[in-house]
Amino acid sequence: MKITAIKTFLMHAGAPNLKAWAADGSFGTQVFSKNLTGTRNWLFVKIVTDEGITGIGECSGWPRVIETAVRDLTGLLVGEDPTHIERLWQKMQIAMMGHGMTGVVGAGAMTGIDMALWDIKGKALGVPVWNLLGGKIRDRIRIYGHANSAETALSLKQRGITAIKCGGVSDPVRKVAMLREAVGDEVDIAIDLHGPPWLTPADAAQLCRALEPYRMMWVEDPIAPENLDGFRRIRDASSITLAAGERQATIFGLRDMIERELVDVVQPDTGRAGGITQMKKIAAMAEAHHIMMAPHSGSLGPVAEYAALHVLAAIPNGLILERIEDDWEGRAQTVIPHPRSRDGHLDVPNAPGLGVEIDEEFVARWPSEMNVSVPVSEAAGSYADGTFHEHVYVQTRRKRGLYFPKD
Amino acid sequence: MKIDRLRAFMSRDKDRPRVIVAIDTDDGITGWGECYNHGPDKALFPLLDYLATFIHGKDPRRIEFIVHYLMQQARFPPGALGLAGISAIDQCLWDISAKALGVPVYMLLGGNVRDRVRVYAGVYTAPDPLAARDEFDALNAAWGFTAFKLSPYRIDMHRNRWGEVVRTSAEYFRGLRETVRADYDIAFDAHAKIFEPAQAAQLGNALAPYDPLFFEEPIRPENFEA
Repeated sequence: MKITAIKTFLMHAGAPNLKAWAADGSFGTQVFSKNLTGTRNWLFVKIVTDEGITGIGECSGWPRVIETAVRDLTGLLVGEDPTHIERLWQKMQIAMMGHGMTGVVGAGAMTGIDMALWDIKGKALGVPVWNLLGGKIRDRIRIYGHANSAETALSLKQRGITAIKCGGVSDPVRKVAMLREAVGDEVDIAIDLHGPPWLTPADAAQLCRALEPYRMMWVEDPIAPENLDGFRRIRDASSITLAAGERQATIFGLRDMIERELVDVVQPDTGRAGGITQMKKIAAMAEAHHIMMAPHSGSLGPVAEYAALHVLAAIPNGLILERIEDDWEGRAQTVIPHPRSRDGHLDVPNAPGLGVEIDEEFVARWPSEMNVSVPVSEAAGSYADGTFHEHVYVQTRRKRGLYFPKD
Repeated sequence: MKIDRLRAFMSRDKDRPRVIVAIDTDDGITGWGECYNHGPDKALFPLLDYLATFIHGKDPRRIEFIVHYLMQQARFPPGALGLAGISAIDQCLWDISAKALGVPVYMLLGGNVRDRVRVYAGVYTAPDPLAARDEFDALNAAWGFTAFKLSPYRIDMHRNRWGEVVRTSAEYFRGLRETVRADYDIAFDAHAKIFEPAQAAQLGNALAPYDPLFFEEPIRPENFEA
């Protein structure tokens, strides 16, 4: 079998309803044609072979830029046997190495290709991808939804969702207290602080201590992902369960975070961490440190969700999968079939390969217009009063007496 | 597909026992594996019989699940014998999974990065340089070997002053380098017999000038800090 072509499908995806989304509008608030809000893009990759089998993959990590990277990588792959996945991954990594350290953009390009290669191999052998990863440990994957209000949290709980995540840094402790009051003790609650620019390590340490009484599933990205020593400082100060890792890619990007045991939950993004090949290795590295894995997928499209389900089916330390239950309505029409949750879980797909195809005609109706935005609006209150337009990457909290609740 | 039974065999390769394991499935596929033999090898049979009771009726393609399940049956870390048993079972399961799909096992591990794997010949003793030359050349002519693993010890480490052990090993390696083909790789296995870190470093330093391919198990495996 030989690769004959690689096609890309870039689309402008709408933002989820703000009420249903923990990020307080982190896809931006710009309005585009066809009533789309925000700058979320999805990029799908289709690898075509001479035997008629095709594989589908998805790239996150700045999709609009990655589309060009995938086109550039295509010349390395056409004519190759798609079943030698590891060798092709190494070939891509070597070929882009001269451009500098591989981050989520380069790894994002490799991810969609890697995912499509696993899809091809599964289809060629007539087995689901999980059967190529050591077999199934579990038949369904627990999911968590996003909720920033009691109303949304209760709506998710009524639908059987057993874990929720809220977001934002404007008033996190009171928000968590409100949610805990609303959903009771049987629902797990996580909070995403979205890394910088809102907290320094000292601020984050105080915040984590204040959140301890609420028995968090985790506190996510309290500080900038570059600041590993800052994570150490938070860890030494607080017993809170820490999660991070969505902004790093490959085993090399996550190595220090795992080996220094700076998190309890590692969150590589299924669309940009380097592909199924890397996700399996990252999971094994984490397992050796008793670290759980909960793949990031907040901004991801529905193909990468399938890849995450296969990985989580096969790895022992798979914890839970992120899912925006009430995402943009176009999501369900982008893929066939579109998975629906049941009792707070998604079933592990059992069709050959990943078990998903995209509706190319539907995808073509949503051309990309822009793929960057300043996260959060001024009204979200994430920045200290009056500083929104400074656009700084590092900031400490002000009005500390108000921000950090007294014991 | 379900696991039907486990069969274990004691075989022999010259003076070395070999414990071979077969797992049969209900649809006729048999997978093969092997236990590392470090003694007491006959203890592996009741151990394998015990492990077999846990996997009977399970889908053999759920490899990761089954290995974790077996590990969980051990109240304490299973140790060398337990892991040798579980290793053989793990190999059988990969063999079954690959046979069921009609592919080699490496295709389930991400596909092949290379088409052949270089091997070295285990000589394990420290033959005199001229004898070593003949043995290496014979192995090279018959099989194409260009790398060999030897023992570094030329005199009894327990009956001689340590400095003499080190000196004779260094002289021996120098003599080897002067005698055998320059393109051969030579590795040494100290067999975890040395307890003192300083002594292991001395022996390693003495061998280093003559370029060993590697220096294996210079110290007891329990001693991470060394």
